[in-house]
Amino acid sequence: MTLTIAIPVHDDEPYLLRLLGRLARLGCADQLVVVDDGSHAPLDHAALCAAAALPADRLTLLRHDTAQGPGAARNAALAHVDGDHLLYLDADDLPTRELPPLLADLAGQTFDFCIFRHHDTRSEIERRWGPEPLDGRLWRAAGTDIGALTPVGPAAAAALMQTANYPWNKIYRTGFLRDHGIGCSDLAVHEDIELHWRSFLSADRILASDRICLIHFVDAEGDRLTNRLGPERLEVFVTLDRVAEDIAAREADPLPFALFTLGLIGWIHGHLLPELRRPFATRARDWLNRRVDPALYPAIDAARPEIRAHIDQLLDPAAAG
Amino acid sequence: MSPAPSLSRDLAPDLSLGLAALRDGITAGDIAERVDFAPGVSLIADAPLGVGGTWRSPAGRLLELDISMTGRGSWIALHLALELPDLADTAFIGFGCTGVGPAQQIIRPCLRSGLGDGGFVDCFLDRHILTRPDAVAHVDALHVPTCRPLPEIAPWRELLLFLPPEPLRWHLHDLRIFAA
Repeated sequence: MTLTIAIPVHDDEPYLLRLLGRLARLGCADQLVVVDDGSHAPLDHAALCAAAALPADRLTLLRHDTAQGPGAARNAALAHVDGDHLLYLDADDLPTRELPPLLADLAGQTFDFCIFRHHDTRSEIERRWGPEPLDGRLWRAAGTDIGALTPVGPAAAAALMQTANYPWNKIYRTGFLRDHGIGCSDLAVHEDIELHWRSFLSADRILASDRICLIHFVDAEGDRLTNRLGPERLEVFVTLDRVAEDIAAREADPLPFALFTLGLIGWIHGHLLPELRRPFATRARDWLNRRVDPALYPAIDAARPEIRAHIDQLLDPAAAG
Repeated sequence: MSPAPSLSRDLAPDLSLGLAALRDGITAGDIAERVDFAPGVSLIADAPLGVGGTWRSPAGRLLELDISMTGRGSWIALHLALELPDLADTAFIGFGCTGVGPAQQIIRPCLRSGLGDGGFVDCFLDRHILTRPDAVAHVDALHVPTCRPLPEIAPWRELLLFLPPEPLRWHLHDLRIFAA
């Protein structure tokens, strides 16, 4: 098994160097593909090789002269991947010491992708080590919260596909992504929803690991893409439409995506700039009317009793801010 | 200049090798009345329990135990051999471990010392291990000078982890033994 790690970067060199140093210590990357997505000061190949302790031929540095977003950067990276397996990381992520043993467990296994757990720094408020509570509940519901390597059946996949749509918690078989044409959307945010969902929808063999292989840093005060709460958030319905159409074409169970989408709409609405809440609510109502069959609501109420009342309240035209 | 004082020492080359082998390798098998996972690391069960199930040692971790039972019996324990015959210079013997299990079940750690007549004496540590779904570190130690049943010299010793005599799913991610 050979692993390529692909990293989109935009004006984030200090974090990138921290990540490359960490990868060097863990010794788990056979190839790195770094995509400099329009950084004001272009990245230097030699400096990155030194930080990663890799020979020059094992680090590919691509550059977009103007920033195109992390989705476009990941898609560009995929074309240059030599490893038979691929892990996307963001520059501010930090892999843990659990990543190399997971790779050892995966060697010789046949799988399309392996999803692993991560630590979200927001959990530290409650002195917990692990993901956010909702993701934790979904891992438990899937029965994959305990076990170094567990095959994921259809019922477990239906739970895991509702977890947050992170690109960096899955080790992909490169051929799986290429054969199915799976990539990210060209959006500034939510660009990874298609990657996440189309992976689950297309995979024949999924593995899950309870290993916490990565620390995901969340700083609500920072200026990272995650913290953008402007009009770009309204574009989420473009990618939600694509996934909904894919699910319909496959005649797959629409319930997991409905639950995921309701949770996502609630999250966006709760974090959006106040002046954008009304137009967002209008779009959300339209999307739900078009894409969520009313016959699904009893099942939604049974699975997440709190979610529909919350969404109804958020999207009530009389209450819209 | 005198050497820096040692905070701990290697208790048992066999045990260390066995645990290291489990940590470094990837092995698996079936649960039976006696399973030797690695040198110095065994599971031994009371026959009437009728144990079955599977075990696995993933990379970087010790043991994933999935134990079923068809009968009723008295005991089942994980045995970790120690080479620690003389405790004259030892103040503490202890261990740290971390693991997970889907249900809350109790595991009782114990230091077993062989006696000259062929018998043995058990000294239970004060705290039991409570399995739970989130990995929590468990650390405990015996204070050797005040642990009266503990013989200062013994032909053999083991750290035993008494498992509940009921079906158990317990993933022991790591365990290290120390003495000071």
